[in-house]
Amino acid sequence: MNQFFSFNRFRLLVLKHWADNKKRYGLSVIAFIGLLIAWFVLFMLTDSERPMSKDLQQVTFFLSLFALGTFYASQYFHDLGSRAKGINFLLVPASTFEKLLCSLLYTVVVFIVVFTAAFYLVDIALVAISKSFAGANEAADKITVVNMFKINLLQFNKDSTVNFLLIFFSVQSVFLLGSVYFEKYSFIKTIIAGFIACFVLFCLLYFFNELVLPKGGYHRGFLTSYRVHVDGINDRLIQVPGWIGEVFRYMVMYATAPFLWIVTYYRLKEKQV
Amino acid sequence: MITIQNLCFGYKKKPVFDNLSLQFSGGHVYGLLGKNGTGKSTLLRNIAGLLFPSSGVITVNGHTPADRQPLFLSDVFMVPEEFYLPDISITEFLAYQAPFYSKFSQHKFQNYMSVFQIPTDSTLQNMSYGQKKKVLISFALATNVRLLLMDEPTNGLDIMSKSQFRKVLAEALNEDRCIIISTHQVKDLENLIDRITVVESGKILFDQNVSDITRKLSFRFAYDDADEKRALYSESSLKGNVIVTANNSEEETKLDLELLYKAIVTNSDQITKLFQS
Repeated sequence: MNQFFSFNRFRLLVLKHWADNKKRYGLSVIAFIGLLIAWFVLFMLTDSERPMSKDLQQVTFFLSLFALGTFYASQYFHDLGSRAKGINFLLVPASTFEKLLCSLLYTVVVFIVVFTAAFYLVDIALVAISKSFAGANEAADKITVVNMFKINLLQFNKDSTVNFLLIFFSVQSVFLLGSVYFEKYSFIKTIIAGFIACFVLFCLLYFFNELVLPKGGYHRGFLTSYRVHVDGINDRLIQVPGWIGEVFRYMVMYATAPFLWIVTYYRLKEKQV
Repeated sequence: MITIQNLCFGYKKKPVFDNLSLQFSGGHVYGLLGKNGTGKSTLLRNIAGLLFPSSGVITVNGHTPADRQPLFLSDVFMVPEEFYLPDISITEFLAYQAPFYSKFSQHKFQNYMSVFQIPTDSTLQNMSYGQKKKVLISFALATNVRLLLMDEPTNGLDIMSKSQFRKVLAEALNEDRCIIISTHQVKDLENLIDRITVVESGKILFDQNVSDITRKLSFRFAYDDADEKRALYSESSLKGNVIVTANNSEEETKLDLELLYKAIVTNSDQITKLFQS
């Protein structure tokens, strides 16, 4: 028997997780749908000129995706904070890798699918209602369902949606790690830890710029191209090869989430109750 | 089955075990006795792989528990003092939990549940603490795992349930299986345990088979004052003074776990000497 991964054990783990949590998940989805309806109806009532505007749909989708996605991830390993639940979780006869993979299946794949389905269920219905109220005029034509996966929200390159999801997965993986790391109040503690980490990084970069680098500034690319100020005419440009910048960018985009998942795996492996 | 060699373990500010060595083998019910906070539960959690030793080696059926490999976990079941059961029906609980244990017996589970008189069509969350514990004990025994760890299993069980517990546990024992029960309610486990291990301040104060205990110790009323003075432990009761004394005759007396435990805690040096001779 493979002690690292077995598809059968993984399948049993996924089914067990569903059986143990289906009531909670079902109620959460209903609550989300209810809140979403209330939110959109509130805007329809207060802003009758532009009901269900494109901006409102976008902001609602992305804000709730980040808020709920990170909150859900921060709660996934919540059981480890309680001795009774922690024992129950750790003694399930499945490997740490299977337990992590199950968490990724639910927090990443299932979450995105269910969230998007629930959002569009409400969105499509309320857009249709708004249209029927607007009647057959010009305003009604502007009310339309927005395809969130085809909007130019983050244009690092042409794949705007891919970039956006990568950022989402990276942020979410921080919260998943936080749920293993912090036994209580993991959501709040992860946010605080994230702010501290960002602040420390900012300070390091600031002191690096002020104390290590000569007088000047970044030019044509952050961290990859630096203009050393001499007198404005004889300034010098220090550039690292372009591929280093590309590698760095791709590392940040594609490797952050997998790296944090690996850290979560080891943290889970060494977890004691 | 279980070999513990030079186990050292401690919490942040509190050392618990210092070079503890012990062995447990199949076909026995071990009673792990001791006061609250002496390390009984900690020892069980080290054996289950829930806590990791700071040094020393624990081997369970050839596995290192801290690795928490699926093969190891599928052959160990722990009934903790504080336990959790999900908010689902017993049928669902069985359907999703039992497949992890390849030797799980549905028939035995039903049998244990009927001994405990638990209706199988109820939801776990609607049950009382005692009923839930009985479901968990039934499930644990039906998994047919080789190592069963039970931490204060009779806590929260009523008088009838305690005798039902003794019945199902006696039924569940076989030559391959090792059952370790940690408890401070020694009376609940009389006639069930066949080896007694007393843990005191992270050390093993006493570790003997019940047959050796009854061969070397006598549990009876004192004949006279001189008999009482010779005793390893004595306490007064309504019928006279009850004593634990060296058994100098061929006749074996019935083991009184509570008296034995008190004798070990209050007079461990003399008792150790007696068993070493």
